[in-house]
Amino acid sequence: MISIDIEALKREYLFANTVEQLYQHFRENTSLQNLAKTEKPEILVEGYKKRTEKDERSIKDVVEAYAVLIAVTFYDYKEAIKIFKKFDLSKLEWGEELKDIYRREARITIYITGQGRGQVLKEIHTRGSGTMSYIKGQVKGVVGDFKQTKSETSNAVLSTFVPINKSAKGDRR
Amino acid sequence: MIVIHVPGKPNYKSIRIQTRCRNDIENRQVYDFSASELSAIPDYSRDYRGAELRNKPNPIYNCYGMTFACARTTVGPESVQMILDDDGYTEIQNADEVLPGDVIIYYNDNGEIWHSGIVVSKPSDERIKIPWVVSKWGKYSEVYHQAYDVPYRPIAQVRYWRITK
Repeated sequence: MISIDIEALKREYLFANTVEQLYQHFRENTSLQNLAKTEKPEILVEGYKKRTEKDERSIKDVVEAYAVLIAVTFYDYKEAIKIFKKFDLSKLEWGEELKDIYRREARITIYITGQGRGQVLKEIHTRGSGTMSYIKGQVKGVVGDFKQTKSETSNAVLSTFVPINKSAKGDRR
Repeated sequence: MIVIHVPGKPNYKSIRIQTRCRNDIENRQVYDFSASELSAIPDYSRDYRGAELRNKPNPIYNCYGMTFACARTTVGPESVQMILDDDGYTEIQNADEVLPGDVIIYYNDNGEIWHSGIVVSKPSDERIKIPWVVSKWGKYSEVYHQAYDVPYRPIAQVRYWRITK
């Protein structure tokens, strides 16, 4: 189990000065997105446990344990948080901090102005660090690009986005 | 002193280090994996033009620990601005004036501190004005490299600092 691009991830792990860099660079690795798609959560939890409970861990063990945590960040937010509770995050240097980054930056609740103003339409996951100012895609019948106009909290957990092109159409219900 | 190590737990320690103004600098020394593996880690510097390793991989200290704590421990980027302020650093505005011993700090596109190192030689090409630097690449090695040849992305800005006060 755990088929990932281990050599590239090992390098990213060794080069990371901070947990933020680890989070960003691991999330950019497509093999972890694939891992999230192909493996069941219980397999990932078991894989994490097996690797972190060793007395003498190899770099590969540590990288794979981080890989599991990052793979979980590609799950639906609520499911991911539920799975995170099953990990003993203190087993890794950056385990707890990694979860904090995910909670702080991964979740944005979208509001659409105009038709459906103020209505929570969907929770999405974003990637990378920093405040997100644009999103692209389809949100409950609204297609197009959206620009952030207002952030209700300092860490942008709640943000208001407005369509920025004319093709974006509101939900007519 | 008795050190109790719980199997499967990272081995954390910290040392007491302070700025010139006696503000504590948070730090930690971490061994998250077996030290026996360190000598088997490949030479990744070959992927960076002209870069050379200065030492073997060492997870005890990171780039900020090398730059500001004598390579004794890992320091977080959140301490860097305090160190610059407390220790009397001034930014060098003109790249022409950069000298060996100056500190280089890299910033990402959010303006966050992303990496640091120490200038070891002036730019060899006057037109390009890129100095050579020694910096610690995370848990890996100290690397001698051209200032912009680092494995960190995105680097939006570099700034140079020197103690002047």
